[in-house]
Amino acid sequence: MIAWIPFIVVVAFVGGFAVSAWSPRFGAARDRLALATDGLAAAGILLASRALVDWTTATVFAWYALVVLLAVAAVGAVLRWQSLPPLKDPAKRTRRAIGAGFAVVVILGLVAVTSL
Amino acid sequence: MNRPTRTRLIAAGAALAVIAAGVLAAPRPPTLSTTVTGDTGLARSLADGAAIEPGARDTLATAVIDPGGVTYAGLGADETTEFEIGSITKTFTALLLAQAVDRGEVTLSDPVGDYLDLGDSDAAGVTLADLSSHRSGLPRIAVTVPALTTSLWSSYRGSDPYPYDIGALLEHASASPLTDPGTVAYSNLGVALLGQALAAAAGTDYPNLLQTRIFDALGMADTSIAVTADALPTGARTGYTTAGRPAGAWTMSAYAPAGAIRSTVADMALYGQALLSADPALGVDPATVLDPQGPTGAGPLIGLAWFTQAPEDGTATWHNGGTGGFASMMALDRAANRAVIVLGNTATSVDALAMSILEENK
Repeated sequence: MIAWIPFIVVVAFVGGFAVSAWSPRFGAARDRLALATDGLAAAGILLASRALVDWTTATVFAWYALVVLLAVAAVGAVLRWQSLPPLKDPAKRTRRAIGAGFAVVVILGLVAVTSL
Repeated sequence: MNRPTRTRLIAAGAALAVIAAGVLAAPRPPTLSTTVTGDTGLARSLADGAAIEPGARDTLATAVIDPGGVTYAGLGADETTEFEIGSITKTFTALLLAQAVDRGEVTLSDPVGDYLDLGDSDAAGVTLADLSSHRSGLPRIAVTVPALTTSLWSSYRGSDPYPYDIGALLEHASASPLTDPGTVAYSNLGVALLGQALAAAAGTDYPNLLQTRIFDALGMADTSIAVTADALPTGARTGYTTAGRPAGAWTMSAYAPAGAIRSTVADMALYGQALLSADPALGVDPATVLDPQGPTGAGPLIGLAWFTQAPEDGTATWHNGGTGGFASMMALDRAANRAVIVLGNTATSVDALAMSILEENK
């Protein structure tokens, strides 16, 4: 069961980005910063999963399914981009920027650690 | 071009880019190679026995030593292919101990504190013999919080869990409690200390001691030890975890005496032949390391590093090894003058595979 946890996390992040990009309401990205952060997290965690998920010849098809899902989400993100404001609530600019910056550092750190 | 059309083109481009990157970066878990080298019958035994223990396989190589000579076989590897041998390294450290005793540099009953600065810690009083036979009472690995955290992450990633210099090794040993000294409890920490103590007694470092007293003496030209990642040759072979994930090389720094040797089945066959024939190049009678020592009864039969099967299980004298991406097994049938070495480049155990080959070649 423990071996499945990394896989479940990857599915959650890639699926979350698809929802963020395509959902009309529930879970939809409220602004471009959220959409970009969700996309980076999904791509980064999928990349890191190469080293963290127990891929076998029987389960590696799930990788391709996740890649297709990420591609579909990327299409949704591009189509939605123009309709979103850069920041939904400019008053929270500093807090959002710090949060996004922290997320970027964590994701890039994970990618670096799992790729080295 | 109007904006909606341009947006759709960008979206299509993004999708294609993701799919292309996804295909290029796809994980490629290993499967056991079907490329046979050496003796075809022995290679078939390797292929048939590879599934005895579950887990990823990629390449395997074996050598069977009998009175008629050595037979090699491999799947995706041959007798010159390099593997990490992991804890079989401990038998080399044990041989260095026996040689050092023979040279008068140390005695088996010397406390390790005579050679390494362990202060007044409990570890300082542990004898060299008890370090080699895992009777020291030291834990398997260091029990400090940072060391345990490193070990946990490394065991998941298959990366080197021992990035510690000698100072850190001594701190680990000094901070470790002794649990039931005198009973056998496998300790990488203990054998690492032993190797460093022997190097100190000889006035050199562990890799140099190993090179001059064993590798050179036995002609093991393709066997090496690099104790830092920087010292590994470019493109040094790495393996896969039991789950098939790529694993990093283990060089083990100050813990190298417990498991950092890289070798080939051809060189390991030289080592096996020397042990079976009591080759004078060993510098000592191999019985001094192979014969079980210490109290019999509870616990495994163990010499200086070498385990001996309980009589009800067989007659083999053996040691196995495992790193993040490699597995190894060397088993000797001393009465029949036979031995088997199996090396693999995944962490999936080859113990049962080696034992099955030893049995079927009786």
